[in-house]
Amino acid sequence: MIDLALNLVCSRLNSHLSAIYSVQEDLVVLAPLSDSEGRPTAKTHNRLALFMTNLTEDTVSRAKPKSARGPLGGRRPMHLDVYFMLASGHDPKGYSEGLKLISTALMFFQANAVMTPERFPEMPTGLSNLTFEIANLRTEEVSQMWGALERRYVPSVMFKMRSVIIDSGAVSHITPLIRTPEDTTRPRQDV
Amino acid sequence: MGTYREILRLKVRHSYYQANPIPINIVPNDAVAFAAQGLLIRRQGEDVLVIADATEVPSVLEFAIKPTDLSVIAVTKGADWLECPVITVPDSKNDVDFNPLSGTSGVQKMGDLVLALVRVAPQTQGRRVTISFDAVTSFWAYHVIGPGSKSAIIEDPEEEIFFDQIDPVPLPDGRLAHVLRSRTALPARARATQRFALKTPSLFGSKTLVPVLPAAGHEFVSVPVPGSSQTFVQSDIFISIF
Repeated sequence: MIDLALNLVCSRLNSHLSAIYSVQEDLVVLAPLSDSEGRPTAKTHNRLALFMTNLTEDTVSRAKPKSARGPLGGRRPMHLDVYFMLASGHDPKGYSEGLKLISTALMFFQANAVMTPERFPEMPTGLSNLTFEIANLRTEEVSQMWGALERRYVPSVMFKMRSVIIDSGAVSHITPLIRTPEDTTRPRQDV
Repeated sequence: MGTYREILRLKVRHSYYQANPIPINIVPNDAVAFAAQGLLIRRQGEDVLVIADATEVPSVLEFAIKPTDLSVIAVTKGADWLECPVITVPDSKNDVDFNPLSGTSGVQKMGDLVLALVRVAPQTQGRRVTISFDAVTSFWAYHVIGPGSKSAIIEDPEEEIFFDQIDPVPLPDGRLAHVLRSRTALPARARATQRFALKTPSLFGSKTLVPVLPAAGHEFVSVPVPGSSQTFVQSDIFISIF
């Protein structure tokens, strides 16, 4: 689900940038700025890199989702907040180009702060409502973030995307439609 | 006790929601009388079951289909904001379409709107009834704003739906929205299958401005047919080009 959500964002952001700058090639890539050994990735050179920086569970209690599972019991779906970074992979000569692309990308998120299947009909099944907000980082947090990424700071912005839902559909029990009071004292026979 | 059996199973289908859950609740219209008859109502997936302990089943039961989201009424063909439509399920038929012309029962209560009242006779051996609702159809009118909007065209990759440019509409801020309206009415869907693209002519063929345009929502407007007293239903969809 995380990959589907980020791929949708990346694809639509590319379309937005392509329409504005009349370019055929992708200006945003879903890839980290550096590989596992800290070397800059060629894929992100002179492009915007979109990559995940953190994943947290949204624990706000929600009404029990209406599902077609009926009497099948299981755990509630997991609601995730996905933090992703949009960072300029431009070399110093293209510094201004990177800033321009980030500005245009911000315009996209300002106009599309909520993604729904109505506004984005190609949204994959399983995703229904994605919202985007800028995750404001303090200077020391920015420093720690780039330290963790083992990179020098480049123009970037971090977003919080909510809510990606993970539901395995695993069944833990069957709730009988009806039971007598003495049923509750018997050992469970279902499943 | 212990002889409970299913006497009725109600299934609701809605072409707007298709496989997605329909935001409705099905409840007995007279809960006190329902309980007094020893009946229980249970939900099993998308089905609603009535189970009874008694040997005799009531001759007819009445249920209210209540929306948990008012958009259900907006997207349902024939739904009525003012009066409660009634569906009377004939004994000889287990699959019925929502037909508001079969009757209404009183006015809608503000804050307690009903999509439909269902009158159905259960059977001792269990009866399975499916009620189908259809979605409204509307002409999709894309209001395109911004540079290049005047020359924008809409392409359907399936080449089934075509759009005509109609008179521009002035927006409250003075800008003009260039309007492209579908030639045919399209059914509303929670997850539209259409993948219209907004394009503009360019030196090398056409340039894609929006690869997949938004689908119509659940807000509709009545538009008068020019030179006629009739109206048609239109969905306004706004697209900004930067």
